[in-house]
Amino acid sequence: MPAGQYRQNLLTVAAHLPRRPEVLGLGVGLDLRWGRDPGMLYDETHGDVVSHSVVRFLERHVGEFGHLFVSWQPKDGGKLDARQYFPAYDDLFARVGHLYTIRALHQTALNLGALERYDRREILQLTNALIRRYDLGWVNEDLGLWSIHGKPLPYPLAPYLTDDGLDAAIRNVREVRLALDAPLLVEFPGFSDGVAFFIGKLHAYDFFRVVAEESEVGVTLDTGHLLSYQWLVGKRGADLWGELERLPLDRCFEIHLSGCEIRNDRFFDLHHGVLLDAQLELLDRLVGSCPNVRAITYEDPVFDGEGQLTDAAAASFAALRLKMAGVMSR
Amino acid sequence: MSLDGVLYRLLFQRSYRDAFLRGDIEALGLSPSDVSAFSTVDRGELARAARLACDGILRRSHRGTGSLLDAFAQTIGAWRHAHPNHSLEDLADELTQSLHFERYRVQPCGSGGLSLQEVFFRFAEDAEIGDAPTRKAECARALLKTLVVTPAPTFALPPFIFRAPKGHFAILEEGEPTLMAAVEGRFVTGPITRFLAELLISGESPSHVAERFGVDAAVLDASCDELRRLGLFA
Repeated sequence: MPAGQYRQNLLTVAAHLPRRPEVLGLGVGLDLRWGRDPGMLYDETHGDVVSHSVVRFLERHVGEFGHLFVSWQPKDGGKLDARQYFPAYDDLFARVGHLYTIRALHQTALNLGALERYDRREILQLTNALIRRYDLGWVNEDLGLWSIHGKPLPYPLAPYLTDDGLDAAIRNVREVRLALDAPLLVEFPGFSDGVAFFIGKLHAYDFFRVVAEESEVGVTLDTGHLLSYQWLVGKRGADLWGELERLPLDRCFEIHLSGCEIRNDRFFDLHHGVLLDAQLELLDRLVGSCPNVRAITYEDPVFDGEGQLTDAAAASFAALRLKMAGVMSR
Repeated sequence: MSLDGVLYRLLFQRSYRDAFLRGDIEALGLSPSDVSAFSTVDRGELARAARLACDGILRRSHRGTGSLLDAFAQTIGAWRHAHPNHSLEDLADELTQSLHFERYRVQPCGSGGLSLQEVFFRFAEDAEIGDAPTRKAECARALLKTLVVTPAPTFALPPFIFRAPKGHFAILEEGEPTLMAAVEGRFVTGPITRFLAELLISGESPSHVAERFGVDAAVLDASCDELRRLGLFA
């Protein structure tokens, strides 16, 4: 591709990417589940609040993380009203918001892979209310199925890797991108053991690239999700980080690293904070191949009630920081 | 059938899934293109995913009430006693294959669907699991505890849950009436006189109910005041 056209492509892509962070940096993503510690708890005096452990963790690592995302999940079967979610998020950002000014939301209810009719109006309204209230820089969501016919799934399933599935995914992603008040980053889905199957014959990397290009969005590449797909289709060793050129690398703004494990020749996306060497190797390769990447996110680290990382997670975090120092010094 | 319809049935309907797993494609009603699309499915992984999805229906904790196993402990205990050679996986499969389950909806697709607690209650009624008063009491308790933390639900409520000025309540009629209520963020329960129960649910005017029970005006006024104080009476 001629240099001029390449630069023009980058500019076009950049128009759909978040403004910050402006330079490559490390951040953290936390799944703040309702009624769990770490997460959002109910306090009889104060109502919904963020758990002490989350605040302590974020305070401990303020110098090490430049951005923060939190995962949104419905708290109950009530009407989707952002005001029901404000108390807990207000508490979170009142306590640590000044330490984390670059913030994002990981959605879990947009069902971007759905073929069925799926009414997103209320969830989009709620998401926009959160974006405005907390100045969220982007919204991230897996390109997958979180529910089917209104029934919950234990882990997001892959989209339908068929022509109809591709059309539906493009339509869904475009609808969400246009409706959101912040850039949407679509995430390559996971294929963790126990739910590692797919329907259709399209290569998942090609499917994902076409969705990103046709719907004109930025993307998140999760190292565990990418590896889990390659593992499922039988790749091993260095082949696990092959075929990267089939991904929309120029659209990648964020890279996720969540804890994974390979056991008995099976690949598990466990979110337990312990990273595989293969994930760090893939991070290295992706950073070198993604011209617009700015956010490297350590997702769902595991810590105790005082926000102290477990020993295993601490070792992984140290390895990740070392890797980051290496890629940033290039 | 659409691809999502097939996937739904593979995940939540055991007999359909079993036909797929044993390769009985004719029984599935698939078009040639569907057969091609589903030919890539790893059957072992599908079976594991379905197991997780169905078991999650029984075991997933819900705000206010815990899981179905918590909410319907006695009813499920009765099922286990009656089915010593079956596992909870069998119960989960029977539940998710029932017609009532199709009306369950999670957020953000919840409007007008049934709560999971009512789905289980209706399923248990049809299957006559345990005894009727226990089923109803467990369902009422679970729903009212849900309503304590979710006062504006998107799911429909069964006819035995009544709206009140400051919440919801149910009257359980086994023996002496028992009141269960979710009012102003609290769950309350206790015995109640039949006269008060009728004031709350009969739909008749208070004076008419008082006349039926031979209650004088002063007692009626005091009763109504107490029910208003609890937020149960307009």
